[in-house]
Amino acid sequence: MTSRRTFLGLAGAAGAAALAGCSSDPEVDPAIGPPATPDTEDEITFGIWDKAQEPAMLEIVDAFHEHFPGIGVSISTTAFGPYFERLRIQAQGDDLPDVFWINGPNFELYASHGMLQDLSELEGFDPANYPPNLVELYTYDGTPYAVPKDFDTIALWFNRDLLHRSGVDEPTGSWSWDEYRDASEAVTRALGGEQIWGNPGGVANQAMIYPLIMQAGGYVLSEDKTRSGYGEPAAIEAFRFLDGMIRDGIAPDVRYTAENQPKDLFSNGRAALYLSGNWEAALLQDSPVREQLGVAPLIHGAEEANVIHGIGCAMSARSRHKPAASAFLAFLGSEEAHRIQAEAGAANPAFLGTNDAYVEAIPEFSLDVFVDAAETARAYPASQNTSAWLQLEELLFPKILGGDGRLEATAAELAERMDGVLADES
Amino acid sequence: MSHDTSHDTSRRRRSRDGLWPLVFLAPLMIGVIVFYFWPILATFLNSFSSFGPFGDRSFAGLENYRALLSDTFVPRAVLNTAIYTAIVLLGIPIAVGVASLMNQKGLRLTRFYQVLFFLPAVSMPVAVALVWRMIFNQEFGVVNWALSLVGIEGPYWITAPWWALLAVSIVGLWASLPLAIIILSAGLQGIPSELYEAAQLDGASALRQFRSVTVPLLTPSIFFLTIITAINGFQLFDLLFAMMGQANPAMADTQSLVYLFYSEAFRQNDQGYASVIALLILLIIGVFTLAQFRMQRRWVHYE
Repeated sequence: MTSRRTFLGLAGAAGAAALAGCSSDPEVDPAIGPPATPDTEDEITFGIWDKAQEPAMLEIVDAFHEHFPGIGVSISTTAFGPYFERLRIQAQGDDLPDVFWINGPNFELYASHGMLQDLSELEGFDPANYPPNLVELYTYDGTPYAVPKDFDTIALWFNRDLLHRSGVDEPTGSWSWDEYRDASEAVTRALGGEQIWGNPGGVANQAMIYPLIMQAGGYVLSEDKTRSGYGEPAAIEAFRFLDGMIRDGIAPDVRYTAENQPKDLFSNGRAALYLSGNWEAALLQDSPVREQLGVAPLIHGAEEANVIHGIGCAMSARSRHKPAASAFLAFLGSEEAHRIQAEAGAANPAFLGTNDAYVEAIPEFSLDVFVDAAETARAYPASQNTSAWLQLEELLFPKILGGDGRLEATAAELAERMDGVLADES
Repeated sequence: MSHDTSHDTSRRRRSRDGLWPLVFLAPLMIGVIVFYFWPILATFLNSFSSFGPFGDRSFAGLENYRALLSDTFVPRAVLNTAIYTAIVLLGIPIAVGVASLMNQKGLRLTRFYQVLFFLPAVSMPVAVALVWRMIFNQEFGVVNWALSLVGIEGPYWITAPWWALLAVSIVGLWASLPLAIIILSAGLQGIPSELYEAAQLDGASALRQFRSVTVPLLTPSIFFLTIITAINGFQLFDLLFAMMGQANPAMADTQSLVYLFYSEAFRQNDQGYASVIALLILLIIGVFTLAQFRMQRRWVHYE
């Protein structure tokens, strides 16, 4: 009996220890302090997730080194899949990189838990240099916590050759939903026998479902971040529009696109119209149909609406090298650094006025369409625990468009579950 | 009086041994406690907590248990997991048949068959799942091509509800065969040949021998396999995850219990609720295994 009690006592003590964990380290000053000077000697770490952008990031580090020869920056690249898993473990273990990339869905989680450095006092960082909707994405409670690095917006990619063969004129301006549907239908009717679709369907959120819902006058996430918009009439209208094209055989069924991704259908010349972002440029540049591709502004519904998202660069609030990290972060946000990544064709830079370099880096496509879209685009919807409702979208979007006759009920279920996640956020 | 004395002696001996028995047990016990008992206990404690994304926690009482009862995904996941397990269990009679055929005297190419049936066990599960994904592809897959030869238009195996569960179960069954065949082969080799000779003298046909000698004497192996296969079945995850892929409209209706656990723990950042699901899985496996041990008395023959 005694032994069992001791055992339980031990277990209780261990549980209490686990409960008590996570205390703050008094040594780190929450203030950002003065930045490093050119003769500062230090070593900092920089965490990123995109192998393809690593060369451009190395170029930026080299350029930084010319200004601050004493500061070494070591880049660590983790694949996107495990990046945020790893970052969370690093945050728990008080071992975050000094400077690291962050994205919209994860930003608030880190900002609201005090993991990110307040950047309002960062010398050389002026939010006015970037598109305001992007700055908004990386502002929490009125305080900026990340420097915008690049941005993506959505447009209508098209295959000239397929449109021409179906007797459809190329889009010159923004098409309405009906024009988009009619053009898709014409292509599918004309070339369906060759297994070619007007548009490749799918369930993309940022590139298709979010902007369509906003264009119907709705929202994904209410302004105060407490309610999902998926059960609202505007969302249902957007889902119906997509579902209708599948039902009428204009776009492929979700069961089909789960096995044949829209991206692959378009880049293999099996679809004529494709709603997607400028991140596709790098891939499409090497596709067999690259000669036939063009870009037109995004389609519009009752309203015009586009969605902007971009990577941000943040500093760990508990970095032990704040002066060096400040200097590097300020440089990452500078016109010089943004020009370097633009000229490498790595990403569409966020610094206003440097986009020409990116547009010229991939001259085959008229990428300026994506740059122009940034002016009116809305901020990417994100809350504190975005990854939780992203998983619900992943699970239920395909079911909503799955053609089982329960579109509205499933949309309502998604909204209800998402509301539950939002209610759990503090 | 004498009874009391003997009791005293044993007690004295135990105290003379001191801590030595514990010291010798320690290497095993520490492992068991750290890697088995502690995680179970921690899961139990976690089930009463609410977690933040960075490990901060607070007491949540029975909130997570209440959430389990009102979550509509749970009953469907229990059903899916049960159906999968039931289908995979069908592999055992198949394995009995295959193992008996492979253990026939005078069979040629025995080694070849052994290698063939053992291959699934040495292949990487995810690679296997991806190959099966191609086999079941609606447009280009071998299965639907074969069906088209007899004039049947095959379904969307991987992306339609129910069909997807069936496809995953078929692969699960296929993957469970190697272990079953090995265990059953060992069982078969343990059956004394005199029994077959005696049966032959009594004029029993090959089928009769199989029914009256082979199967009854294999029941201990079959019982063991039923337990192991069922436990594995209830833990369905990697096969489902790899075969279903992204943006799959059948996923919401094909989730297993462990898949739900994964979503809650790693995607929803809700470790407290995930702990409750883990306990539910433990409970189901426990009850099912206990029931089997109860029932075995009726059908398992130990010589």
